[in-house]
Amino acid sequence: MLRKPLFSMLAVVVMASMLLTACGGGGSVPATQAPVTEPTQAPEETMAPTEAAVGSQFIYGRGTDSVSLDPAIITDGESFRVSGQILEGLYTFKPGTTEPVGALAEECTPNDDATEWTCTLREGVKFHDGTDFNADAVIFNFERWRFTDNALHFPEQVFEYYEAMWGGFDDGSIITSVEAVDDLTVKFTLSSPMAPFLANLAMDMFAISSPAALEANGAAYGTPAVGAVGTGPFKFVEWVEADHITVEANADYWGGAPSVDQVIWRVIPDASARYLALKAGDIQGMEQATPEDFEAAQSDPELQVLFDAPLNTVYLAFNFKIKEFQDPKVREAVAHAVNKEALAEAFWGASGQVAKTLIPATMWGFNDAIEDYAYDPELSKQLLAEAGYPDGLSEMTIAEDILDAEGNVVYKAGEVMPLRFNYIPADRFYISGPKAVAEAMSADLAKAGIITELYTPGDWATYLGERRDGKLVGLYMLGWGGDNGDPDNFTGYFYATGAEPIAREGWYQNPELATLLQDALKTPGQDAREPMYQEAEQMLHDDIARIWLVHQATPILLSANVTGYQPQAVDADNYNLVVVE
Amino acid sequence: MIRYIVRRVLSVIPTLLGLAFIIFMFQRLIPGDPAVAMLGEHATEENVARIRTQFGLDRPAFLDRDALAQGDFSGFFDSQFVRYLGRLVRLDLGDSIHRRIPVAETLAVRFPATFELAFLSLLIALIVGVPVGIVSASRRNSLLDGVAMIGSLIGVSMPIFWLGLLEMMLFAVFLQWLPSGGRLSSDIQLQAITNFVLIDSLLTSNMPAFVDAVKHILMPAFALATIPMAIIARMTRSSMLDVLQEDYIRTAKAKGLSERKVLVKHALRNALLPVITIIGIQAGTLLSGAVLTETIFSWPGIGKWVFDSILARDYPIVQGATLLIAVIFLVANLLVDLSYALLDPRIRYD
Repeated sequence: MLRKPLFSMLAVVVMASMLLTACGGGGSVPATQAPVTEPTQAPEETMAPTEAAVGSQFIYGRGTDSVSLDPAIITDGESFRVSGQILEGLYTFKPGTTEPVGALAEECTPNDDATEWTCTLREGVKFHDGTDFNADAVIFNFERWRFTDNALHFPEQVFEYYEAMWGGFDDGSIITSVEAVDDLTVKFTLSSPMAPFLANLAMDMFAISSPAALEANGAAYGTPAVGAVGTGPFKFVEWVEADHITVEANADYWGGAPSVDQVIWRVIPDASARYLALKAGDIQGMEQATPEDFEAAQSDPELQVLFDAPLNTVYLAFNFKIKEFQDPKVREAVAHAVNKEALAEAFWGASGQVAKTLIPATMWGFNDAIEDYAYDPELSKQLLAEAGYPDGLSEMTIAEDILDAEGNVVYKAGEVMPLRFNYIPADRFYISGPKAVAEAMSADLAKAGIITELYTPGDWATYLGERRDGKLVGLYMLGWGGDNGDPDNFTGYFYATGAEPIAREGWYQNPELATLLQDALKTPGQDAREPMYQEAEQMLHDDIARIWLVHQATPILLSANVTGYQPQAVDADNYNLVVVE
Repeated sequence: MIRYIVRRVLSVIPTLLGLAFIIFMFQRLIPGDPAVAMLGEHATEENVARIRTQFGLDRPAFLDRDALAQGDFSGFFDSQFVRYLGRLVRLDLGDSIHRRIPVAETLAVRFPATFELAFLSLLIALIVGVPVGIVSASRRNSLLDGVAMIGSLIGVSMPIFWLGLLEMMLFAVFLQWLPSGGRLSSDIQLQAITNFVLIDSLLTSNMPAFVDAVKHILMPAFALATIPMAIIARMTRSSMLDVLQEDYIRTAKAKGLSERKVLVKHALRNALLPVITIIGIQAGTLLSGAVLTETIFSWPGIGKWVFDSILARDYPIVQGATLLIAVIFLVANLLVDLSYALLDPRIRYD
């Protein structure tokens, strides 16, 4: 008697759930759907209810899923990590360096004033769908990215990197035309010389997709149901959202077939669980280990640790609408009060390098002649006294009104409040446990008589919003990761528009620096540009515009039986030489 | 009964409308902008403005007073909320701002994952919790009762992430019996029909997939089951203790019925009413609160997805998933209410 109603209830719940799922789904996504334009992948094969016979696999654990596999419309590293194996650009970066080298283009050569670049394309390359890679395919992709009225430039897709790296869309684009000289030669015409032209071409975002796949799938190109079709060493197989993405070796790859048959990226959000999966042998590689697991991995004979070259900078910024920070002496006092060595050692360990400039030492444009502000709390106190704060600094004064987006005054000129230290509220790829780092820095500052109140305005989205509006008053932490290994990508974003105070950059203003950076972008030749960026670094240092803290080399944990993994300084790491023994 | 069910189902509509309004409003009240969250450190003014326009985020949230002032009545209603409601009426949950794919498409894959896990956890909690509660009550103050109740106290207070990692260390790393996480091994192919992998593998007679799916779900299901299991055990025990003191139990015992018959047939049936209520509540909690379990066991469900979407201000995902959870919660509670009538003949819904 009792079991009957209970059993019927459970049965009803199961049926109701199935019904609801069927109703809620619309077009449900099968877990193993084949890419629409993948002729080599027979749908019957993927649907067969049998255990597939696979060869060697390299399974990599990561914290989050990709957003899309269409590199033109994405900005997140986890998407490029996968798309970078499937698609290639005209150029790529020499492994482990920031030097652009030919990929789908054998070579690109400029004219005398660097306003025209002629690229010779690699012969005999085919997309994974069997169509030919040629000049028309290059033009097709560039026109899709550039022209907002192109049928495949969907308004809801954000071609952010094209706009950022090539100056804008339509007539705003620095690339004014891409023409086919012959089937395997394309000519780019630029509106003005652009020094990082090859570095830009080598960015993952400007990888060439199969025009046939783009046309066949429209806005669905890059989504889990479709994947992407390029010319790279691996072909898309399947994407089960929030679970895994599988690619298989492209036996016809022009650079030689990859050593491993399949690469699988598994989403394992929790860092400790990811490490346990590595220890259990369920995955063979991972990133973003907890500091404890990272330490353990270094002495574990079953594991090995590799490092990506550090191409990022963590910094402490001043809000220049704070009266006290308008005085260089106060800024210098802060600079001498932060014990960077101890911070890097305690919070980044083997993966941290103390920073003295915005541009990391691994990039050209780095200025090694700069002598960093040494940790000296006594000197800080002395500087504060000279600046008129003999008893130290614990309050800040708003120098000018700070408004919100609607024009309301958020912080009024003359307002005095406790000195704030804004810390990042979430882990980023360049920092783990930012609050603890902030606490340590705040303690350092206190030793020099600078008493700060730790503060964060909300979660990461809120923090970014406040930063954008210049409302992170006091000191604030943030970081930057490079995109193409060109020094303009580090300095230009921050300071090239500094003729006026930049809200996003804590209202910093340096017209002379802005002019120098704008000139450097147009100057052809690395030899000519390098001293310009070194000078820019010197200007930032002399002005104590910010305090550069750490460059993080991302540690990659691999099983001891993995060889051939190539960490990249820029772009996605290379997997085509990976061997799992 | 039918009239009651129709009335209850109809009452869901205003509840969902109210909920849609509240979710919509709260999301807009928290500071932070989807476009800025999406672009991260690289955000420029132009990009932020463009994305805001593309997703209609530059429209007023509720009603456009400026349009009204200009006598533009259609513009007055052309707000984010009215557009959202318009889509909702057409059962369109919109597209994810970050992913740019329909929310319904992702929900169709992710919700079954969460449901499967929550359902199995509840089943485990019931299978273990109810008998433990009965035995505890029938052997009140015995050693067995003490062990069961201390055990359930530990169950309630044990952090899921800690238990999950312990399970993983034992069963995946040391014993290597079970996979450390995920829903299905990547070398297993399975035809998706309902997106419930256990059901799909049975429907397609794919035994390797079924065994693999069971292996994957065991650890997260047990981790997730601990709290409801402990609550159900304690609830069954206390409810049984109340019932066991009733006169009709004494009568049943006096009639010479076996203890088992008294407990199961006479006591349990009456004691189950409050337990069923708890189960209804737990079902909703399990569906919406499996974030930690899903995170630790890399379970591709909706918990972590919604959590991340809140942080990223991906409004359509939060709205769509929350509404679906609300519907399930309402359905679960309706089933619970109806089950009262099945358990207790005195309860009628006419």
